[in-house]
Amino acid sequence: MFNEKEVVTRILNGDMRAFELLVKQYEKLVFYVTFRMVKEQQAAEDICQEVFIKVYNSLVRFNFQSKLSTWIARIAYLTAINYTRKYYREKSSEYPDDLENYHFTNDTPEHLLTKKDTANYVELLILQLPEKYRTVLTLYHLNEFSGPEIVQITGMPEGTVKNYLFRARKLLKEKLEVYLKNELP
Amino acid sequence: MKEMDDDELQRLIENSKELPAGRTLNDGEKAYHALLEVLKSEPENGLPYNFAAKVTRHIQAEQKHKSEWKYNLATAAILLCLVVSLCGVMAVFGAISLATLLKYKWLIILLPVVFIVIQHFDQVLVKTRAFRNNLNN
Repeated sequence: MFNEKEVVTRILNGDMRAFELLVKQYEKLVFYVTFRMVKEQQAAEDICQEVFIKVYNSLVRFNFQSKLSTWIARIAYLTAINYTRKYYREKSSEYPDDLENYHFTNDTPEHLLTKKDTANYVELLILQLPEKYRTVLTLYHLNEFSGPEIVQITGMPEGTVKNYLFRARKLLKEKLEVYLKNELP
Repeated sequence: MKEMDDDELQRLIENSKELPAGRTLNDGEKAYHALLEVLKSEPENGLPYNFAAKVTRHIQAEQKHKSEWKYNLATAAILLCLVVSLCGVMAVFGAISLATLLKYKWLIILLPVVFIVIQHFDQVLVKTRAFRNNLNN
């Protein structure tokens, strides 16, 4: 079993095998957060590497006031945010307030026909959601963080986190409902 | 049976992360059910199997690079001190005049600088390439 205190102590004592263990333990968490934010495999890999280098260099300042996973997820979130701001110029002010009227770009019937299955379809929809909605959905459902932990990671107010979760799931459900109706005999 | 609205359905998700089993689901509930299944399943994309080893090697190389720089700087400083001390001793015992020393002061300073430049190019051109080759293998 992964004992975070023991592993952190070993890393601080210079044990690189312990650090490799830590990377293996949290690489999926970091990848899911970054991939859903930047939407590119190679960029996500580069960010993951940067995140773990930051983790290694800052580990001495980690004081166990939060879970290690929450702390790493916050570093991943902030690094990916910086990346998107630098390369995509995607700003939060550009996000629609009225998500119910959000239009997905490739929602044509032709495109629907090419979808392999529901999972691929939902993944495609998620990747088209505004950044903050994608992040909250990923942290909650995929990384299984609680509401207060997502607040710690993203710095958003709890009400906003709940609101984003609700609206994103409702929108995805509405799209999926139409898709399933068309798909099922 | 009364249909649940989105608010109620999502509250159920919040509390148990599962929708009630053993009841006939309407289209909206079916969609939520399918959505939940997808949301908790891992995406197909992922990191390469040797990602952890790569990151670790990268950090080790950076550490080595940093310590080599510290070592080089320390060596250059010691070298400079030695040369200055030697010149000082020679000047005190009259083997060399102060004017001659001042004449060659840039040469004395240049010595540790040349040492650092050689070490730097050795790291940049030779060791970095060797590290990259090592990473790719």
